[in-house]
Amino acid sequence: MTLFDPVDEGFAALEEIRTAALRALSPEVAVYLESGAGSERTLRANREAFGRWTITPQPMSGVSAPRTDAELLGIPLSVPVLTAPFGADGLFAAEGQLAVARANAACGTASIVPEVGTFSFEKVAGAAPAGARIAQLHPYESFGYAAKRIRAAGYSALCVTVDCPMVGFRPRNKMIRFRPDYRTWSGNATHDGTPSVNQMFRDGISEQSPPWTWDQLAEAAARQDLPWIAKGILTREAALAAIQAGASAIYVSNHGGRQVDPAPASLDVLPEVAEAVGGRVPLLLDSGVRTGADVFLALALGADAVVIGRLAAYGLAAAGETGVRRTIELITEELRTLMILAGAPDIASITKAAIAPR
Amino acid sequence: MTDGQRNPRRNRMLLLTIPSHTKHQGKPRKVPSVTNMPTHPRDTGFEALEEIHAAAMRNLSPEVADFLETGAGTEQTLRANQEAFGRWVIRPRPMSGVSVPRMSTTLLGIPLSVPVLTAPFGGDGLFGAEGHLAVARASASCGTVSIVPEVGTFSFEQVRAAAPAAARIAQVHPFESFDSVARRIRAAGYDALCVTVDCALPGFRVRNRVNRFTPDIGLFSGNVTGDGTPSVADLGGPLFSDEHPAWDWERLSEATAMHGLPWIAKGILTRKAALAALDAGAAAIYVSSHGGRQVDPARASLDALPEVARAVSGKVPVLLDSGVRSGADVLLALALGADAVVVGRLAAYGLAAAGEAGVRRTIELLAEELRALMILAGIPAVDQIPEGTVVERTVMTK
Repeated sequence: MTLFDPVDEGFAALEEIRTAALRALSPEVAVYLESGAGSERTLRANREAFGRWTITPQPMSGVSAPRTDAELLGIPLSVPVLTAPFGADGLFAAEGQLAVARANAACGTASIVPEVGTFSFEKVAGAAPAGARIAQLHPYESFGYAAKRIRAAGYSALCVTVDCPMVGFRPRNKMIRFRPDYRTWSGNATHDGTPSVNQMFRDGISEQSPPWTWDQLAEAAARQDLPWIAKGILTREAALAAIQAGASAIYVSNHGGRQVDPAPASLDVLPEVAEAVGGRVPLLLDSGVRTGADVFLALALGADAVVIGRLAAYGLAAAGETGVRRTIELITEELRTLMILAGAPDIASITKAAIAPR
Repeated sequence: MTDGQRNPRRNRMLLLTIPSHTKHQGKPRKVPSVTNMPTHPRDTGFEALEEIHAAAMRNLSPEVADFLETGAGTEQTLRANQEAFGRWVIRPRPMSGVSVPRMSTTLLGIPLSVPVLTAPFGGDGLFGAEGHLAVARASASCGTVSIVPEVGTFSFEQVRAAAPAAARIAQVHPFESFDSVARRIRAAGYDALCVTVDCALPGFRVRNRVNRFTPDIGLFSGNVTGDGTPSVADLGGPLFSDEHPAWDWERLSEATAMHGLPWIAKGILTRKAALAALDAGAAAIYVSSHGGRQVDPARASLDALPEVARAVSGKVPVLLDSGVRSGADVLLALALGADAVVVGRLAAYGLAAAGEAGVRRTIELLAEELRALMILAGIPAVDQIPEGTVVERTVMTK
């Protein structure tokens, strides 16, 4: 660790990256990125939930070089931070998830690569095999086809989004009359007649094409030999159903406030979900994470790793691969600082005992 | 563009400033042509309820906008009504397999495509020349129902004729005029009465007073018969006096018993009032703080809903208004015990923004959001919301 902040990339703080991103993006794309569903109560609650916790300083703890490394489903992580599978990534920078995966590779972290992204699973894996470790897909009739491709492309795990059979009702986004160009979210669209999730989002769900149930997902996932993460869990019932269906990890998320509004804040339900999971599988969390301190709090409240969506998109929009890398660096730097000040020598020692309600 | 073009109701108001008792004798009110109205809801271009609200505020004069937006007193009730919705969350139920949730239901035997009715706001001509004629037509095209006001711009008969499929419930005040009005309502073909029990006189509304806003009484006189029978709008100001005292439940019970129509008790905020209304023979209980326009400070409608729903315990349907501003709010109210939700200001915004098309778009957007939430929360039908779907937002502090 250097004595002075590594300021060579220009961005000294996450705030600067966000500001640069919002400057670089068209107003439509900025609103698409920033908005939530409904009256955005979930979006606000996600942030407010973090504000109710404090980290307890441990002066003179003797911790000087904390270890931030961790591991998730056998994937080594230099810090327990992953990037979320946000689709339409080409809206934020031409290189999209290629740049995100390269940044993760450079940082020793992992990308969750989206199914409705600008680039195919294969292209992203080709760009940064060390960063592109997990591929996200939807529980839809395309599942088996997508999963086979994902495996062939060398990914280590699947991430199944269970909370998005349809896009949420997002008034702010509707008001700007913005629909992302099809090319930005069709990187994995198929052209050989096999089902594609792009079709599901285009046609919408119907009686003929209903969203899947846990049973359908369990059967389909069992035919693949990749571990899978259930993304979009907010209740103990859903966590138990996901584990019953064979999930290898539970990913607490309200989709960045973009699906159900009003929904519980991700952080607020973390203890409920952690209790239901009872340590059987690892826990991930997204929605509302904006700082290294937020990462610390989520880890202390039971998450094994934290996923950043908007933060990664800000980095991408601000400066492509460099911007995402700088984002992960700044989060890591703040986390390391807090680990020293709170006396946590490693990630495992960030527990409930290290924090307190305000 | 002149003011007259932008605000056609101004011209109308001039026409209506003749004394109310001479006004409608024998002559049907002339209804402006609607041939230039958009025929498809999408044509209004509104993508969100916020846009409809903004358009309404643009179209209305400041005093009419205030008349619509204001509440009683210091508007604590008005604010509380909306804040109450913010205390609840929907617990999503992913992978439920719900693809085509059923939004339709029935209320007092009346089918509804979605459990949303429009409230009986009076003075409707202030917001759009077509007033409740447009509201009822919009409800008809959505498969929903209008509660048609007694102190509206148009008569019960006119609104019924404009949209018989939607003009199914007529609102009336418990007052001298009740009997003759109820007879007319029945003759016009309505299915039910909605008796407003919380408005023996208009609330103390400071913003209106400050504006010195005295709307043209004609816009509230659609049901003034001019044939000597008593009418609530004849009195102006307070709805009762020494000669016409406010009614009690017993008097209402007797009066309603003489008519063969089921009646809804509108303006219930307590268990006690709900039980009194049931005792008096109400066929439905309508939880309402009158959009915060009557008692201030009063409890928020949504806050009163669980208590009232428990008291009613499924014996009769429960309706709710006050504070509903989104499809999510509709879902919360349904989950907390309402069988249907009533929109007042939202409907008036639609009316002011684009007449019939604006009201239709309002109902459509509410239904669209409700549908999305039902799919994401795994709710198969509006009357089958699984236990535990809506809970108080718990703040984790331990």
